Amino acid sequence: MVTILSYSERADLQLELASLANELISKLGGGVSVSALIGYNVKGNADMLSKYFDRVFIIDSENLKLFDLSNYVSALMEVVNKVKPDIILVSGNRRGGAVASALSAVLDVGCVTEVVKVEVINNDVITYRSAYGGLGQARTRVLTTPKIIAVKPGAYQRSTVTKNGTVEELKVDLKKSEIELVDMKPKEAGVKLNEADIVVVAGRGVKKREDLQMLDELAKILGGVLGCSRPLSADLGWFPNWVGMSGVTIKPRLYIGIGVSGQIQHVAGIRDSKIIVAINIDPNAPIFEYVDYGIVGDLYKVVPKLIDELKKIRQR
Amino acid sequence: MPNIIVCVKHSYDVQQLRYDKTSRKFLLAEAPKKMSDMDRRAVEEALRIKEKHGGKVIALTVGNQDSIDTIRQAYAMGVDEGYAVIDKDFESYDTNNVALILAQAIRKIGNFDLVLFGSASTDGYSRQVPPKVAMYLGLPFINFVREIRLEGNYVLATSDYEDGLYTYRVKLPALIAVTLDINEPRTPTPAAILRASRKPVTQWTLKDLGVGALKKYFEVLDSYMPETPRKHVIFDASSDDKIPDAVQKLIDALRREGVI
Repeated sequence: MVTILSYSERADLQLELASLANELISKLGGGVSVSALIGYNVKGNADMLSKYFDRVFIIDSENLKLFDLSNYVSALMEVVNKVKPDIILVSGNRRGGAVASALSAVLDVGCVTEVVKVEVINNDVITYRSAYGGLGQARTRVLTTPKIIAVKPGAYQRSTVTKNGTVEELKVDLKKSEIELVDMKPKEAGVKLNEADIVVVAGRGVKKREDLQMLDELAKILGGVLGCSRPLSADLGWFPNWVGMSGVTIKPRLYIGIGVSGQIQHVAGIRDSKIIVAINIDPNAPIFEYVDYGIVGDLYKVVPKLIDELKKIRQR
Repeated sequence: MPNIIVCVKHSYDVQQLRYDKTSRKFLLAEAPKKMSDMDRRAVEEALRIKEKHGGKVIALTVGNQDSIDTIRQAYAMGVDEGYAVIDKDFESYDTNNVALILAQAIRKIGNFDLVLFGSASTDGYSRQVPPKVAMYLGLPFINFVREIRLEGNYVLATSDYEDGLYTYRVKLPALIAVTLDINEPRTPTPAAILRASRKPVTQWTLKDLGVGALKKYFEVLDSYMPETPRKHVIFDASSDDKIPDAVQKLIDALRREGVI
């Protein structure tokens, strides 16, 4: 019987962890899934979480209003001490990754971050994490109990297995944070590259900034969004961020790289896409090693034709 | 006048990392190393704070003998003092080990107002070390920072989270980890690089820090370039007359795949 504790400050990411928790419980011979709901004014999510976890513990405190790492770790420690988990799953977004790491220091146990897959082999938990800044992958193992595993958001689907879990509130004495929030500017929602279904990526083969309009039109006809490879952002500043390692990692249904040469650092950021397409004038461009479909040709002639043909289909 | 300790890592330059196409293993022996990208920005930020407020900038690393190169790079940028904790078994250390060693070294250096890190190293990218060091030292921690301003005994730092930019204010001493967006680091002049090669680097062993046998928390079984099977269907549109056919074939294929 294993106990698996899941934590994320975001309820939607908790549901991704619920999937993994259920999978591990079944592979490790049964057990209990526990969710830690920690924050300020978060009680409203408890009922929803109790549909996906066996037990939900709430720690709701005004001292958790601001993200103070040591207070979040103290709160989580309370749940850890209560349920004595074998595995602690944390969603590895920016706050979550720090919570997992800090908890690992305080509990004096091992932690692995950037995890994309977890397997159970002979009762041993093997974690696959991205390696070398996302270029490669590594098989790793946490050697302690409990094990802390910070999973990349999006690596697992949200759970659909419903439960009838219990909800319990825990009281913790938390100190007032030494940190004070003086300003907060929300980010524009917009369509994010890593959430788009179809992504068209402009590469160095695009000669002028104005030419992006043509690629944007292609993206729009397909119902997708336009991104770029590293040089167009880092060197030319045409985009705020790029697709690829150290930029945004994407896994859309369809990726179309246009004038993208295909450095492995770029490929590392797109390799989980369902279908990869490239259009490039150079038949020897490395990108063609990684594609499902490719067109060797001048993007300035191929893309307008592609747009025309897609328009005809849309009009039918 | 703040004293700033900047922790820097001698990392594999992943932009130049290659792999063997057969074994899919990375060619680490031939891979160049350099100061981790975000750490370089942490050094730059420390130097800018010093230029404005005075004080001292100290670079600290832990690593193999070759990690001293990174302290030299920090010297070339303009730091005042350099420390390196050298251990031949560094490659086998996990983030708990590294954080513990750095925390001990920071205590030994002492007399600091601000500790700076890059939020993630270029090669490991675990993002684990800065929060761990903050816990070990009991320092308030602000992560993913893209702007720092000092006001007397306080620091204002703007964190870049997925949902927004949060500006925090905290009393010194504090630990701050920075992102790539915080600044554009300076390029040292050839003369500065030459001078840096003659500056003394204080070298410590684990014993000097009172660190005994290190517990193992985590292990890497292997690492490799993953392979995703692809169809590799290429349509030729290298001459104008072939374009209509190639485009049609691509559209047909994508419709068959059900992606458009």
